[in-house]
Amino acid sequence: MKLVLQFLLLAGLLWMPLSWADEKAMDFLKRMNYAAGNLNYDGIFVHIDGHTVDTLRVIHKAENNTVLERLYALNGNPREVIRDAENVWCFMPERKMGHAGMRSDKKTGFPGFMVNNLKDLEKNYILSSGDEERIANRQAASLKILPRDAYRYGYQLWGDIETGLLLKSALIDASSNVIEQYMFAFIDIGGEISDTELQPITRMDKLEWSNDKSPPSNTPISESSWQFDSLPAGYHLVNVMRRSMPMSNNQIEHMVLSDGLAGVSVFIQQVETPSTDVSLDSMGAVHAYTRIVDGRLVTAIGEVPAAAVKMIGNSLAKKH
Amino acid sequence: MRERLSVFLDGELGHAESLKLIKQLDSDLELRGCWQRYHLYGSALRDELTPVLSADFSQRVSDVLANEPVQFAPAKMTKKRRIVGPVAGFAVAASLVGIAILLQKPAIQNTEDTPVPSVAEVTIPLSPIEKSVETSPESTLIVSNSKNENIRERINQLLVEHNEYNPASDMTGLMPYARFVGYKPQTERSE
Repeated sequence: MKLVLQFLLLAGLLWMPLSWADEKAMDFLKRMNYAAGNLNYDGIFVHIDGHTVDTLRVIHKAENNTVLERLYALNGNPREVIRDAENVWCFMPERKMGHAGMRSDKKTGFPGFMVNNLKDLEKNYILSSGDEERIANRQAASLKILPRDAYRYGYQLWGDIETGLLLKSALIDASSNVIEQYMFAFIDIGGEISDTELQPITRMDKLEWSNDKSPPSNTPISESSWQFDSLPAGYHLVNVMRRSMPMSNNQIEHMVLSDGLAGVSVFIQQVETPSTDVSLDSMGAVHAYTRIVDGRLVTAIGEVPAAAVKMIGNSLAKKH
Repeated sequence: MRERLSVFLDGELGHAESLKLIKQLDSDLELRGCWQRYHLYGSALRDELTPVLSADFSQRVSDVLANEPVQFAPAKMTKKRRIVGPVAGFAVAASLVGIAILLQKPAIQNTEDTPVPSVAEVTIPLSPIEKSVETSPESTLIVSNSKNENIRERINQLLVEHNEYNPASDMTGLMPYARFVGYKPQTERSE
């Protein structure tokens, strides 16, 4: 009996720190999620993708539950992106082109996904807290979100201890290889941001603009004529839309699946001469799997491992 | 102002002064030029210049990142990544609102028009965390990156549409935009 009690006590001690760490990680994730949408910040960060490195400036203003943001490149072509809740303007001065896009209704996409779906997140990822680190002259706490299987990538995030704002992130695969990183080199958090700081450097009238005419329309999932027979663990259908593609009159069906963090889109297109090619393409961390189903061209694409897009693409079938 | 920029790049300028300086980068083209040049000098002195990276602040920061603990150093480029790099560069740059691809030919101009794929073997690693929980039914997949320009262009268009619905993008709020803004033409990217 004594041995049993000792064993239970030991097991309890081993379990407690882990549980506490998970709880701490979850709380910090909530803080980070809140900070991203509710704080003003102005800083310089680097983006490392493979062996290319870019330096960018971001000015982010949170006002009346709306985010206004301006992002521009400090090296290379002076590209800029300015966005508000409904629109996004994209400046490509090196091509003398711009695009004014309409953002889709986020309420039907992933409404506060991190806050509302944290429990689901735990089914597919392991959350844990890491060590503190100094980033951009601020103390940051780290958090790991590691995948439970090979159908999704993981993240390591470093958040500002004082405010919760994300200061560094790394996309990692199931073998802990880093695929992509972002890190602030300098940041000012909570300062006043004037409207003039959110204005583009590039003159809009110097560019040739193309504009979206309407945002994509949502369709009830039950009305879709397509279904998925078997999906990787944790993934489920969250949204179905009908949308037109630029430079095309044809409507396509856009189905969105998620495990709470990773997202995969499945596009179903009517094509005049469907090729019989099946392809699996890779673009950095993004994979795309294409096949023909019932005469339609089907493409599953997402920032997920190849195995995930292939399984999702293969499980799509017409409803009977 | 130039002196202050130099001090900033050495990481010795105070917070308020640093903020004032980066705000001035917005309107002062000469200062932005200095920004690039100072990094060029610094990198040259340290013999860090390579054809791969642009000569700027980011080089030094990347060096710092590279010296991070092993598991968080930038992953080495695999054979697969070298092969698909040009495609990735273009696709990623065009993400979210990157309509460049929608309005003109892709940055990568293929001389071959045949759909014969280049084949790279990609190993799907088993999770080191919980191997017993669930692993991929296929430990190895063949990624046959299409050489057909039309296929790649279509995939790039779809990636633009997809990015608005990637929950992980919501988490940081930066990624899809950063990829677009940081876009470099193929000729400036490394192989």
